[in-house]
Amino acid sequence: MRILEGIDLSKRYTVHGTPVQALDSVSFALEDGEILGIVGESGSGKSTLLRLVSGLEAPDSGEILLDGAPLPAKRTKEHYRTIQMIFQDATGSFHPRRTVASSILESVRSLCGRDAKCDLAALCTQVGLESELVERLPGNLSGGQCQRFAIARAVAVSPRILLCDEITSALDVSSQAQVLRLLADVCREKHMSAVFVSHDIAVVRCVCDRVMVLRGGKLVEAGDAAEIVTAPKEAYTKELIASILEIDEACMADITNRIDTWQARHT
Amino acid sequence: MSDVLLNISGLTVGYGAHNAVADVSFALHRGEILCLVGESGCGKSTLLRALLGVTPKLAIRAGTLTLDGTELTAMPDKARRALTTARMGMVFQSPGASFMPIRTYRAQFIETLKCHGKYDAAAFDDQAAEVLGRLNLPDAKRVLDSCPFELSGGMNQRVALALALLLGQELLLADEPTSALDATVGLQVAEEFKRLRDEQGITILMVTHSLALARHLADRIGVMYSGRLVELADARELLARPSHPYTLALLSAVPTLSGAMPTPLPGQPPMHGPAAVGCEFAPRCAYAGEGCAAAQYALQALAPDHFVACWKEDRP
Amino acid sequence: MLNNKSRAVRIRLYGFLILAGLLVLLAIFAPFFTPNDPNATSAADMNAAPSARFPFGTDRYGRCVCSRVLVGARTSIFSAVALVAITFVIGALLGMLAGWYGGVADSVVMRIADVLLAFPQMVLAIAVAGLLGGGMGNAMLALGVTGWTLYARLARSQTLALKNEPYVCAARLSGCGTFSILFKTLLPGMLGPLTVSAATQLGTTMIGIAGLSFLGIGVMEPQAEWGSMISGSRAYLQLAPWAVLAPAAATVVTVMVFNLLGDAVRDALDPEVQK
Repeated sequence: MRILEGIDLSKRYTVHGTPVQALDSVSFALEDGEILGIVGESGSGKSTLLRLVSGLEAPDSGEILLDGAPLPAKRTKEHYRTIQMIFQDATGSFHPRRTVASSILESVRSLCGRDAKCDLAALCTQVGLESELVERLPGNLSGGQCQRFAIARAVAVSPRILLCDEITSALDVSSQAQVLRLLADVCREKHMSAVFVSHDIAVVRCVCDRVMVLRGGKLVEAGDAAEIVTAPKEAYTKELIASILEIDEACMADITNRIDTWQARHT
Repeated sequence: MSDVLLNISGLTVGYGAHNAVADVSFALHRGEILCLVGESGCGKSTLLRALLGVTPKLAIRAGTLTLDGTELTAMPDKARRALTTARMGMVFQSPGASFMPIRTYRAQFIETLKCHGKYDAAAFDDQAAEVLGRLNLPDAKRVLDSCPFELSGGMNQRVALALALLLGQELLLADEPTSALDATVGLQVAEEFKRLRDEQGITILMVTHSLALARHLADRIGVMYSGRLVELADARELLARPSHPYTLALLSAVPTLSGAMPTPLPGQPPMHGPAAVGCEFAPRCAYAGEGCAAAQYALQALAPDHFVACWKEDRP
Repeated sequence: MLNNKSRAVRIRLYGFLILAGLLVLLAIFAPFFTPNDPNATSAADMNAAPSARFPFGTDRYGRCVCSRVLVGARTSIFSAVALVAITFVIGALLGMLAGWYGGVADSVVMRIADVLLAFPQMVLAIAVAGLLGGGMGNAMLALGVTGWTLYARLARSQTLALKNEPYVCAARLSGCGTFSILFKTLLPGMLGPLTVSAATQLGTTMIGIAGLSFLGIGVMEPQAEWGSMISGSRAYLQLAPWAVLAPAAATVVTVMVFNLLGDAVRDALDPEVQK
C-alpha cells in the first residue's frame, strides 16, 4: 500500500540572480513499512525533494499524496505529526539555548497536545543513551549523540513517516554505524516508513529497501536497492557506484572470521 | 640525501592544559603517501598543524621533529616557521578555505610567492599555466582571474595544490582534502595527489577518516585513536592483516555495497585526549582484559613494517 | 550566560548597570532632593554664583540651577528611555516580520526605512517638530520617526540569518506558528545585539531631545530640561557660566554612562569575548 506519493514535483530557485531548476518533474512512491533511499550528488535536488515533502516549502507544480489524499501547501499539526524530519546538522537542529529535553518536550506538547506525557527516560533507552545526557545543551553533546536525540524527538510523536536528510553525512564512521542501526531498528519496531537521502550509495544500500538516483533535479534510475547496486542500468549510476572506494570483500570476510573465531573461543 | 624526509619521534602536542597528541613516532620517507586515519577528536588534524608550526597556542611539549636532517624542535620559533612554511604546504578540508574568497587567485598567488621570495614577474604566467595544466585545469587565465567563490570545490582544491607546486614545497600536508567534495569529484582530486607523488616525487602526509580512501592512495597507513598512534603499517599489510582492535572495529563499521548493516562501536570517542596510563580504547574494546587499564603505551613490531600498540596477545 | 566571561567584563557590566540605575532613581526621586523650588523665580538672586543656598547658582530668572537640573533629569532621561523603548518595540517587530515574510512586506518596510534614513536625522526631526509645533510629545515623535529604523534593520538581518537554521526548520515542523517561532525561538537570540543598540541609542536620543529643546522646538518654558536650560542661559554665558555648565555636564555624564553601559552589555553578550 502506498503511504506517500509524489507526482511530477518541480521546484525552481533563483540563486545569485540565475534561475535554477532544483527539481524537474520528479515522481516517487513510498510503500508502507519500507525505507526508500534517494541518492545523488550536490545539486541533484534530493534535499529539495525532502523539503517539499516535509512542508517546509511548497512545490511550484505537482502534488504530494498522503494515503492517496493530496497534501495542502499549508500543513496542519496532524500532518506534521505524521511526517517528521531529521536534519543533517544534528546539533544545529536543536535550539542552542535550550536543553535537549526541553526541545523534545516542546515538540511533543506542540504536536500531541498541551497535556501530552513524554517518557524521556524510555526514549533515551530506546536510542541507547544515558538519561542524564538529555538535560544537556546541544553544544555539549557530540554529533552522534545529538543525532540520536533528534531521532528520539521525531519518534516521540509517533509519526508514520520519517524523512532523513543526510543524517549521517556529518558523522564519524562509528557514530554513523550507530545511527544507521538505530534508524533501521526504530523503523522496524514502530512500523514506520522512511525516506533516506544521502550522497553515499553504500550507506543507502545498507539501510534502504528501494533506491532512487537523482541528478540535476531529474530522476535517473529507480529500483530495488540490491539490484541497482549490482546491476545498474544507467551510465550515471554506474559512475556513482564506481566512485565508491571500498575495502576488499576478502579482507572483510577475513576480519569477520577472525572475530567469530575469537568469540567462539571465549564463550 | 637520506630517504627519510620527516622524522617524528615521541611527539606530544597540545593546547592549554591538555595534550591533544601524545608520544607519536613515525618516519615519513621521500616520495611516499602516508595516510593517518582516525575519527574526529583523535588528534590527527592537530598533529598536522603542529608540524607546520603556525598555529598560535599549539605547543610541542615533548619529542623531536626532524625535517631532512634539520632538527626543528631545537630551533627558535621564527626560524622554524620560515623553514616549515617554505618546504611544507597544506591543503585543507574546506576547498578555498585558505584563500580569501573575494580576491582573485592571481593576486593571492603573487602575494604568496612574493612573501616566499619566489615571485618572478616575467615567468609567472607561464609557470602558473604549466602547473595548472598539470592539475587538469587547462584554462589557466580564467582560473587565475577568478575568485574562490566562483569556482567549484574540486577546482579550488586543485588550485590549492597548484600553489604548493609553484612554491616548490616538497612535503604536502593534507587535512581531509576530499571530505567536503562529492564522491566523483573527490576521487578525481585523490587521483591528483597520486599523480603528484608519481610525477613530481612529492611526499604527502594525508589525514582522513576514510580507511577506503587510505587504501586507495596510501603507501603506509597509520591509525590514530585519542591522540595516540595505535597501528602503523604498509597499506596492503594493514588491510590484509589489521591487528589493533580499533582498526578491526573501524573496518567493520564502514558500510559496504554488499548491503550488510555495519557493526557499530559502542560508546563515544574520548573527548579529553590521551591519558597518561592505560589504553584509551579499552572501555570500548570488545577484547579488553584486566591489564588494559594499566597498560603503558608502546608500539610493538608485529612484522618488519607493521607496528601495533596493543599489549594483549589474546585478540582476534 | 556570563559564566565564562572574565571578571573585568562582569565588573564593568554590573558597575555601569548600577550607575545607570542610580541615575534613573535620581530622576524618579528628584523632587525630594531639590534644595529649592525649581520654578521659583527670584529677582534678587538673578545669575547668582554657587553658594550654600544655591549649590549650582541661579539662572537669569533667579531659579535654582541645581533643582532644575535634578528635575530636568526626569524629563530628559525618562523621555529618552520612553522613546527608545517605543522605537525598539516597533522597530524590532517590523524588522522581524520583514525578515521572516520577505517579499512585498520586506520591500515596503525597508524602502520606507531607506527613505527616512536618506534625511539627516536631526534635520528631519526639526522639520517634523516644527510642523507639529513644540512640546515634549512632538519632539519625541519627531525623533521617533527615524529612530525605529535602526532596530528594524538589525532585527531583519538577524531574522534572515537565522530563518533557515535547522532548529528553526525543526520548530516549524513541530507545528509552531509564525509568532511562536518569532518570539520564542528567534527573539531570545536577537535580544543581545538589539539591547546593545538600545543602550547606546539612549545617549543619542537624549542628545537629540536636548538638541531640539535647545533649538526651542522641544520642551516649552518653564519646564526644566537640560537642552532648553543650556539654550536659555547661553546669552549669559560670561555672567553666569554655571547656568550652562551644570546642565551640560549633567548631559555629558548621563550620555557617557549609557554609552559605556551599551559597551559593557555588548562585551558581556559577545560570544567572542571570553576569559
